[in-house]
Parts: sequence; C-alpha cells; structure tokens
Amino acid sequence: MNKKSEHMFESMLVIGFAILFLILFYIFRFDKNILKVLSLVITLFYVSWGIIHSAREARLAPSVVLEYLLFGLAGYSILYLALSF
Amino acid sequence: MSNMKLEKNPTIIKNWRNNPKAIDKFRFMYHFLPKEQEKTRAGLLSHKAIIIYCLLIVLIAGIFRLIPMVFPGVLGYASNINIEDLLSYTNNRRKQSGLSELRLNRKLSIAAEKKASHMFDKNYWAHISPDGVEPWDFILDENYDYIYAGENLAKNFSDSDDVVEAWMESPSHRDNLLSPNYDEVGFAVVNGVLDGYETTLVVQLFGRPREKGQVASVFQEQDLLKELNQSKTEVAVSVPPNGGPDYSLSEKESISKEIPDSAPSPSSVSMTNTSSENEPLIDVAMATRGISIAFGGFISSLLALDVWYSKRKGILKFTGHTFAHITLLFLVIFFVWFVLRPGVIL
Repeated sequence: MNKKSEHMFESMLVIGFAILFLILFYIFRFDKNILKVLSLVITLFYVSWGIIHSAREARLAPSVVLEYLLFGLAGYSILYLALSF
Repeated sequence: MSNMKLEKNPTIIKNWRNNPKAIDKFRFMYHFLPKEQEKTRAGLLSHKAIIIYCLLIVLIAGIFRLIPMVFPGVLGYASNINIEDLLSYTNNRRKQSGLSELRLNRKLSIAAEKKASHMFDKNYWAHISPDGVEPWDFILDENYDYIYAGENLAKNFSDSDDVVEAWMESPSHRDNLLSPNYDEVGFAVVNGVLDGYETTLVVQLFGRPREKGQVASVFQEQDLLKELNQSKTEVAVSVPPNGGPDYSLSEKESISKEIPDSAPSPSSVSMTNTSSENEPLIDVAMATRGISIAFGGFISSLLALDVWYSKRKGILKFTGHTFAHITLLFLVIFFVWFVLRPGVIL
C-alpha cells in the first residue's frame, strides 16, 4: 500500500467510524446516559486515531498530540452541553 | 499586534502611515487566517483559543444550571403535548403488536393528574415520592379497583410522538405499553416548575379493573376526550432554590403492580389539564442546542478557512489532520441538530 492510499484508508476509517457513531447515537437517542458514554468513547477514539495516524506519518510531536486532545475535548464539551439539558 | 509581527510583514510597514485601515484589516484577519511566517494555524484556532472555547462551554452549562436556582421558571422546556395524540400513538403501537386498544379512563386520568401535581408540589421526579407515596395510592384514591396497574413517566419532551417513541425504546416502559394485562389507560400532561425549570410532566397510568364490565365504553372515552380538550391548567409550584434530590427507585425503570388489597377512598379532584402548550421565557433545550451548533460551526468554519488559505498560499504547517477535525465537528453538529431530542423518561 503506497502512502497516498494509506492516507486515504485512514481518512475513510474516520468517516466510517463517524457513520457508525451516528447510527449508535440514533439508536440510543432517548437514553442520555448512554449518549454521554458514547460521547466519551468518540473522544477517546478520536484522540487515539489522531496519535496513531500522526505516528504512522512520522509527524508525532507533543503539539500535535495536544491538538488532537484539545479538538477531542472541544467536541466532547459541545456534546456535553447539548446532552446536559 | 506586536512589533515583531509587523516586522515580518514588510508591505504593511511600508504603507502603514498612508493606509491605517490596512493595518486594522490585517490585525482583524490575522486572528482568522493561518500564519504564513510562523507556519501555524490562525490565532482563533490556537491551543489557547480551543481551551478558551471549552471553558466557555462549561461556563455556559454552569450558568444554565445556576439560573433556575436564582430565577425558577425562567428557563424551561417548550412543549406541545396532548392527550389525544398520546392515546392515539399508544394504541397504534398496541395495534401494530396485535394487542387490543386501551380505553381512556376518567379515574386513571384523575389519578395521573394528581400524581403529576404531587411531583410538582413536592419537587421530585420518581415513581415513589420522598414521603413514600406510590403510584397505586393515587389510583386507589380514585376508587379504581384493579387487578393490574402500571405507570410510565416522561418530562421535558416537546412532542407527543417523541414521548411514546421514548417509552417504546425502553424495554421496561415498552412492557407496560404493550402489556396484554391492561384494558385502560389514563393520561395527565401538566405544566409547572420542577427543579427550577419550567417543564411539562406526562404521567401515563395503566389498569385492568377487577370486573371487566367496568371498562370504559367508547362513548365514555369520547366524552372524556372532549372534556379534556376544553380545559387546560398550569400548576404553580414553589421550588427550593437548590432543587431536590432524585428519589427514583432506579433510573429509566417503569413500574407496574398486580392485585392490591387496600380499600380505595373517594376522590374529590376535578379533571382539568390535559393538553399542554408550554412556552418558557428561554427554551433551555433549544438554547443549548443553538450554542453547541454555533461553537461547532464557528470552529469548523475556521478550519475550512485554514485549509483553503493554506492551500492558496502554499503554507505547510506542522499540525494535526484538519480534515479529521472537521469530520469530528460535523458529526457533533449533525447529532445535536438532527438526532438529539430533549426529554427524559422514568
């Protein structure tokens, strides 16, 4: 697998998981406790994916890890606000 | 803008005396566009900025928790729920499962209304009240002599179909809704203030009278529905500023009971509320959804601008995957806007 198709595969992985999480969100749309757990799982998945992806592309640095952590946290905060009320 | 930054942009230094507007524009745009010299994201996408967004969101959530304690009833959940729809959706679900339709019963409806009012009065959200009053007590108070009885509760919903759908999604509530043991049902849809939030409580009580001949007729049901459609009430309640504890037996559990022994006592409560159009000053569900989408939209727009501008100017930055960040934020926005529904069942 060349670098371009590898990059494409990893991008498709993110989209695939996004669709999967959306389906799970729909299934549990009335259960806010499960939705809160799912939000946390998405955040953890995203940060892990970001770190692995950066490591595979030899771009892993503390600032990049911090960026994935912060964007994951931003996504979680937005979901938390919407799920809290 | 610091001197160092100005020094890095010779065009601006050259013309700034003649064109101060250009400096202002540069100062403003500088926060939105990637930095060519430093090869980093825009100031509004810096790590510090993202931390500030997260803190702002937490602060907003805190304010929305604090307002009901200081000004009860200002925040709330808008709803347009009515008993006719609740009955219709419930019976549609039963018909789809090959079960008989439930008849709307006056006594069960009065008991449901008393239960809802009791929850507002005592500021609790549970099948059994803090002082130990059970759903069966309300049913027996109405002289409803039953073999089987059950209760489903809902709050903060905006539509009748969402309420029934939420009950159907929960196994224990679905068991009540689709139980062949019940012949009759009673509903109450009551507006009031619970835990400082203006909200609508929905109480659904199921029952099978001891004698089959006691089941309400179609005509009685039609009369009752007409009566219910003519009246509306609002329950005014005093709420402790810090809200009340949750006394629920176990979260997300419906409740049912078989064959009581105690003797019922007569009731003097008149039927009133039933359809609810609740309009609080600020609809907290809509407000939080709006704020969430605004934050998500703002950050993803900045990221899209980042991609476009970097490509145009050939800026190569050592950052994370922008496309992945946008995907995450789109997922969050899509979920909050299209999937998430307000409401809690018990």
